[in-house]
Formats: sequence, structure tokens, C-alpha cells
Amino acid sequence: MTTASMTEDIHIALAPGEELLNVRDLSVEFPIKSTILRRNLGSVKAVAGISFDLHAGETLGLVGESGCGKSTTGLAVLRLIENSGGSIIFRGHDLSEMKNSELRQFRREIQIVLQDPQSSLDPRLTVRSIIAEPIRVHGLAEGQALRDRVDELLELVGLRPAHGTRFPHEFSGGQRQRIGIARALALGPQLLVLDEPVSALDVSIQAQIVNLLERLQNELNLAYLFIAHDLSVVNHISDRIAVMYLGKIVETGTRDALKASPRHPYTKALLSAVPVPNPTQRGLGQRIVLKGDVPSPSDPPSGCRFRTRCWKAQDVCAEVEPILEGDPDHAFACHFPEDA
Amino acid sequence: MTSDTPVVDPQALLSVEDLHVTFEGDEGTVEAVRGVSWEIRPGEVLGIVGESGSGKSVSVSSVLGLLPSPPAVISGGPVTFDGQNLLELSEKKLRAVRGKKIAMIFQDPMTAFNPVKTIGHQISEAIRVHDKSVSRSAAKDRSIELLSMVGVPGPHARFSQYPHEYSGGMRQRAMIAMAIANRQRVLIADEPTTALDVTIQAQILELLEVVRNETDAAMILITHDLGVIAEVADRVVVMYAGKVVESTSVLSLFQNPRHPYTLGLLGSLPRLEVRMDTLYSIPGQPPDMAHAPPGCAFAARCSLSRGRAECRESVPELVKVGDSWSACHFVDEMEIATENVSQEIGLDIRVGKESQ
Repeated sequence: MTTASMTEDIHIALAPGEELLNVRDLSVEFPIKSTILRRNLGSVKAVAGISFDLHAGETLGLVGESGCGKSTTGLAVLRLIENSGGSIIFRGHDLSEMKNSELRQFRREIQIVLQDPQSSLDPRLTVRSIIAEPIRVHGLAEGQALRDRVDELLELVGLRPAHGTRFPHEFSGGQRQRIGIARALALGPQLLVLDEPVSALDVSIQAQIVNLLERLQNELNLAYLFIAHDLSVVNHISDRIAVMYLGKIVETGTRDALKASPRHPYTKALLSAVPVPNPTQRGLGQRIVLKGDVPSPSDPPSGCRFRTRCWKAQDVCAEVEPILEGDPDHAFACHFPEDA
Repeated sequence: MTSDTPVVDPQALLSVEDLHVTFEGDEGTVEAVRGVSWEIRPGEVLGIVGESGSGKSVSVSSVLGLLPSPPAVISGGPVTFDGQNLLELSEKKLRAVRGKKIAMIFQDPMTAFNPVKTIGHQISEAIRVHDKSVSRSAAKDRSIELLSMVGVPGPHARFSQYPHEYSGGMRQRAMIAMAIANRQRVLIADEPTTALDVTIQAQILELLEVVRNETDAAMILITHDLGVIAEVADRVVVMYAGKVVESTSVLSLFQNPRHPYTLGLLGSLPRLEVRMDTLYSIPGQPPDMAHAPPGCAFAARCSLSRGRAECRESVPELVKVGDSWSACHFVDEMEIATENVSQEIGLDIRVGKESQ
């Protein structure tokens, strides 16, 4: 049996809620090299063994601060960077083991939208060529069929077919993000990795794109891995949320479980740090202001990685690394969790 | 409703009247600020909200003479501080105000510091440049004291470090230390927490509060984040396309938005604390300021205007409505508009409604 026929079934859509992606013990290391002799001086474990599942038609929000490994995770899921351990299983097939030729047909099903629509679109190509390129590369359509498909995609993201002849610089940030989304949808994927898709946009434009993403998800039964640092946005769009800190998932669960009773101190601090757009609540909420900065991922603290900033840390936190325990609806990695 | 134009408050510490800033470029003239007025009283926090290109940063930078001219052309005014019109001061006299009486905290502390000089050197310099009588060692002691006050750990060692050796949050602390070095009376913070992670943002907001309490400085906070505004500001000016569209107390802004743009912003805000069905989305995008529309700049995106000729043809003046100033021809329809948006997003936008 050829590889093609073996995996042909992956292009058939799943029913909402069926398992689409299982990430297990994923880790990604970047070597630190000396500048002159290129000797290995060690490594940064950007992602240090994380696991999560994603179902068809569902949004998993991956949230955390700069350097927590959330974007690296997104890139590793697409194998745009290589993982150093663990597995990425898309509908039963382990992507991390695949050769590039095998991986190709999976690329149709997993696409990415990047933060900066300025640098992620080729400035010398027309919008039409940008969106048509993946379709052409995969040989899915040509001629009139290709033109029709591009028109359809432009309309799907709220642009007009006439926009196709223009170049990226002629568009505003929000419109460019729409073009990036149209390109990501060109191959009819089942999973979109959205890496900070609205962080660079103004609030009124951000709402347009968030609403567009929600509409597309309903219409096309898309699963989203939504990576962002903005908890309000992640909370608004996600069904489930995973909170990352220094390369680890410290807490994960349904949005409501996480918001109603955060168990990991970091989640609690993160939630409390978000400014509340309500002046009548000023000073009423219990704000936990964490001390200090995130430690360097090249030399993470022993035991629990959060312990250096945690107000509850005890000796055991430095010695024993807490493991993520619980059920799919709510799990957390802490020796001294907050009360439910 | 009365139609008086805003009168400058005699108690104002710093006031800006009818400020215009244009940029002359190859492709024509961009009107970045088109007649902006505001004032700040002692000890007050004035929030200036608006999106990219609304003119919020430009209007404040021009007050301090921080815009290179050309291309910037500043007209209108006066900008009154301490009985002087800052726009008419010589560069030398302005320098005595800037950094000594009015200080600026920038968004990106990496580019605001000189990378080849130590943080300590730069803070000491900020002290000594305004007061030559301070000795080097006294300036050093004061700098270390300031670093310690803003919560930089190990200030003695940190004094001799370079900006790149500081983390983003630490650099912002150091910048705040420099901004308060001369017990300035006005602090201008331009997106001071935008480049920072949320836990660090919380630290910096807390620090700004502490610093203000200790120095009694008034603060102008420029931000696009309505959450930060709600937490920090006393009064708010909302800018759109180079104009003030609403000016009011922070409570009124969130309880009774008096301009459709403010309403749109409140509705498009994803909220952590409450459940909402969908976000309100303001259609379209801000106008190109090289070709500003003749009437109300917001008309094309406005849910209230619905293409009415008045909006397209005449520029609405800022008029007093209740406790607020609003620049909208149909401000008396705001209540119903607020209800409509609230219904659409499944959340009553008017905060504190339940407690009234």
C-alpha cells in the first residue's frame, strides 16, 4: 500500500468534537553556540515536554508571557521547527516521525496565520498570487477553477475579488490579516495555528478579525490553536485554555473552569493582572502582583519552574517538579494549589 | 445641552488649546492633529485614548517640542504651562522645562536609553543637567536612591550596568526613576506598559501609582488600552482622526459614552470578567489623514450616522452634554445606540448599571 492511499482518509472532514490532534511530551531545544567557534555551550529548552489534545471544530487557547514557548509550540506542531522529543499525532499519524514527502499532504490540513501581516506576505506578489500559491503548489486547481477559488476565498474573509490585483502594502493591517487568513484557508485545512493573530491590531480592528475567525470556525468546522498573550482575547475565543510558563503547561482546562477557579498560582496571578475595563471596580479586585521577572529558559529553576516568583513556594517546590494532574476539563501542576 | 466651547480651567497646570500638527511629505500634507484642546490639573491623571494614527502621541510630543520640524508643522495654541506658552519658548528655555518640570516615559525603554552609557550615568546626567550645583557623587547617591525607590533590586550594582543588561520591566522602572529624578510636576507616559507582559504591566502600573503619591505629580497617560484607563485615569480624552471626540470623567466614559466611537471601542473590548456573546465590531478603518473627510471623520464607520448628510458635510463641534464634552451631531441618540450595542453583544456596556 502506498503512503498516499494509506493516509488519504485524513482529508475527509471529521465531525465536530472528534479527536484531531494529540501532542505528547513535546519538547523543543535550541542550541546555544559560541559566536566564533560555533561550539555548543548548552541549550535552551523552549518547550520542555508538554501534552495537549485538540478536537475538530474546537479552539484551544495557548496563553503565556514572552518566552514561555507558546509560539515555538505552534511552529513545532507544523514542523516549521523540529522538535527534539515527543510526538505530534494528527488523526493517528505521528508527524514528528515523517519524512518531508510524507508530510506534504498533511500540510494541506494544518496551516498557520502569523502575527505580523506586514512581514508574512510577499510584498512583490499580488494578493491573488499570494492566495493562489498554496493551491498551485499542491496542484489542487488551475485556470478558471483557481481564479474562482481565490475569489471565493477573498469573499469568505470579507474582501472583494477586485482587491486581488493589488499588492499587500496597499492594505491596512486589518485587511492584510484577512489576506493572511485567506491564504491559510486556501487548501481547506482542518486546523489553523493562529500565532498572535490580533496582537498587532488596534482594538476596533481586532474585534473585526476575532469575529471573522469565529464565523469561519462555525462555517468551516475549523479547529484553532490560538496562541496569544492577551488573556481577554484568549478567554473570549477559546473553548479550552492551556497556560504556559517557561516551557511547561502549568494549568489547562475548559475556559469556564480556569476562569472560575484557577488552581495554579501563576494562572491566578495572570488573571488578576488583567486590567478590568470598569472604573467602579477599581481597587476592589484582589490583584496579585508577582515579584521579579521570568527566569532565563536556558537555566530554569529546579523543581517547579514558577517557584522563584511564587508566594506559596516551600522547600519541596525546589526539589520535586510538580506534574500536571487532573482530568481533561481541568488539570494543574502545583504542590500547593489554590482552593477550588 | 449648551454649546459653549470648552473654557480653560484657571487651575490647570498644563493646558493645550486648539493645537494643530501637520506633516509635510512628498505625497501631500498629513493633518495628524486637527484642533485639540485639553488641560490637566495638579495631581490628576488624564488618560488620552485612541488608535494608531489618532494623533494622541503626536499631540503630546509637540507640546514638548519633541517633533522634528520639518516635517512637523505646529500651529494653534497656546500651550500654557507656568504662565508661559511652550510653543513660543526658545529651545534653550524649553529645555529647562523638559525633563525638569515635565518628564516623559516612553513605550520602548530600549530605544529611549542610550545603549553605550550605563543606566546610572544617564540618570545622574538627567539630574545634573538641570542643576549644575549637584556634585557627581551626590547625583550618584540620588540615582541609586531613585533606582531603589522604583524597585530595581541591587541598585548599587545596577547603577553601573548598561540598558541591555536590564530586562524590559527593569528598564521601564529605570526610565520611571529618570522621569521622577527632578520631582517633575507633570509625567507624560506614552503607552508605558504596551511593550510589557501582563504581570510586568501590573508591576509598572502599581509603581506609577506609588511614584505619583510620593511626588504629587500630575500624569498624562497615553494608551489604547481601555482597561488601563479604567484602572488609572481620573479624566479621559478620546481621540479619533486628530480630533477630540469625547472628553469626560472616567466614570462617565464607562457609564454613559457620549460618542459613537467611544461606544464602539467599549463594545469591541473582549472582557475577562463577564461573558459576552460576540464583540461589537466597528466596520471599516480610520480615514487616511492625508485626505481627511470634510464632515465628521467617523461618519463612514458610525452606527448612528446612517449616512445622514449632516455627518458627511459638517464637522461636529465639541459641546457639553451632561458632565461630558462630545463632538457628535446626534449625541441625543446615544442612549438608544448604547442599548442597541449592548443588546448585540449580550452585555450592558454601561458599567455599574446594576448598582445604581
